[in-house]
Amino acid sequence: MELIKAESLCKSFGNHQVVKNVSFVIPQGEIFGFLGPNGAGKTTTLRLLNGLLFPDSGNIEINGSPLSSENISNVHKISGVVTDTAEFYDYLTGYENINFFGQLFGIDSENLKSRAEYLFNEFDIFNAKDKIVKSYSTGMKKRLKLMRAFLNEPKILYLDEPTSGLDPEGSKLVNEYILKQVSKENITVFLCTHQLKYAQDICSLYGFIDNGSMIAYGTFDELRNKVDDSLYLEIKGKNLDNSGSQFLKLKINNDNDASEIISTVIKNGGIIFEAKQIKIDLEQLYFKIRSLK
Amino acid sequence: MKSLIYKAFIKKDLKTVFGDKIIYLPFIILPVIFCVILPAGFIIASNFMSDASVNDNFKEIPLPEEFQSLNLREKFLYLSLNTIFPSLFLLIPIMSASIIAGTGFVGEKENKTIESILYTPVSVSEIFKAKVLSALIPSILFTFVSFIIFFIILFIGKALSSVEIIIPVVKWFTLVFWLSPALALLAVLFMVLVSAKAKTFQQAQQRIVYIILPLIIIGIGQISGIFILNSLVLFIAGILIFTCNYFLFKFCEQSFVPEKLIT
Ligand SMILES: Nc1ncnc2c1ncn2[C@@H]1O[C@H](COP(=O)(O)OP(=O)(O)OP(=O)(O)O)[C@@H](O)[C@H]1O
Ligand SMILES: [Mg+2]
Repeated sequence: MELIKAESLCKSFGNHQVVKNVSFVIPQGEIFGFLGPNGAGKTTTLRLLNGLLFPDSGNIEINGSPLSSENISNVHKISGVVTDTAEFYDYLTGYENINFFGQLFGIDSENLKSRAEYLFNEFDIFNAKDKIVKSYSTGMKKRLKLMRAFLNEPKILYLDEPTSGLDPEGSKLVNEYILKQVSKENITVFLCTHQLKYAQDICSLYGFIDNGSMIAYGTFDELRNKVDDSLYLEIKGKNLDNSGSQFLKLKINNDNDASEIISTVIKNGGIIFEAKQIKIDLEQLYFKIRSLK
Repeated sequence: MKSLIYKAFIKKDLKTVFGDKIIYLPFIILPVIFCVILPAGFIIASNFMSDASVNDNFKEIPLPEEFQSLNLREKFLYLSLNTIFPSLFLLIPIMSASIIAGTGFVGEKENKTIESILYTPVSVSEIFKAKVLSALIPSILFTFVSFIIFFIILFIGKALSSVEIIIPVVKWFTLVFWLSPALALLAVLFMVLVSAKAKTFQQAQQRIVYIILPLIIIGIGQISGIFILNSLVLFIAGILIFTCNYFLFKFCEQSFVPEKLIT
């Protein structure tokens, strides 16, 4: 099932067109990495998908029905959002903040209490729950935001730079929690980031946005196929070919190619210390695709 | 469901507003000055003054028929407590409503909490109503409490003072239970209006002068005897302000849209 469908979205502020004809489809259970430089239009797209901004043209479908002013409330019920532009009340404690937002989501007080305690534990900020948010560190606020996004057991998660400001333990914890929810509850994730290494770790589908336009969209392999020199076999050893090379880098298409090359080298008397397939990584792919445009 | 949400907003806003210690100050100073020190001061002064020391201007002020028989000191006390005071007293609903609404509306924008609320299932117009109520209800309650304190001082004064204290109850009740809520709502909506433009709480707060200014003019008018407000005038003023509030409310509600709030 397609949980998020965006069709030819356009959005301008004044005469500055920020989102230009952006289309994508995110099936249920996918983690969609929406990647692009600062000011590319990621946060604006996220707000469009949540009905906080109205597109100048184009259509949005969430969970099978078109987004309209009548069903925004229902869409919000099944969504969780983490973004730097949606903050907490500084003078309320972590628990009071969570309690307030939980009430706005219509969660009844008993469920809310147990759910909040569970999540405070999961995100490892239980000890800070009765301190005012003003006293939280950046990372603690981020954890609180993530836990708020999970409060209503969302079907769709919108994450705008979810791990910026988190320490390595924090990022690991957050990633594991997100992946666990995706596999357990089959939730769908819309993730904006410019940390490409991070995106490669968890995303299953990618969209590259630059200056408001979607310049590439698809799975990693689909994108890799667009730039042709994408898979190599690297071999280190002795006498690897006729000229006695100690290092080889050959373009291959698949595992079969690799094993054939390796057995040929050995047959011809070469000694192999190390052989590995080098995939182009997301970062290289990203810059390659951007340079093509 | 709705009332639960309103309650959540009121609780949250009170905690947020009063979490900032500086904001306590006007909420203590206003009632102490207007409801305790000044009325007690006037009562005490009237007991120790001679008729001759009453300012000539006071003698000129046209009082309703039934008060013509009062002696000068009684007149002085009546005028100060029941004509000058009411316009001072009205500062209480205006100031408290504008402080709470100012922190409430501008604060949500300034601290980027408004976007968090907009991602919840609560509709924008419900958010608007909740925010208005959460500024209005506490400031009205605060006004009532201040009024009770004021009346206690008056009745203590009445028991102890040698100068007769006349308390026009109908006039005060109209003022407190009709005109004050009207003005509190006006102040809230006014803050919503200016907070759309103002970037900071202070900026918005300064504009409240536009509501206070007419009150000060009326206050001065009363002292100099240009006009004396009676219950009927206060009642009609309330109707006018409520009518004005109705249109202001509609206008503010329409301009309360996510696109303007998050940018
Ligand atoms: N409300 C607004 N009014 C005018 N311009 C805006 C508004 N919101 C965003 N923009 C502009 O739109 C462009 C895209 O902004 P957006 O926040 O969507 O970028 P982003 O991809 O999220 O960037 P970042 O990685 O820095 O978060 C920017 O040039 C920004 O200045
Ligand atoms: Mg952004």
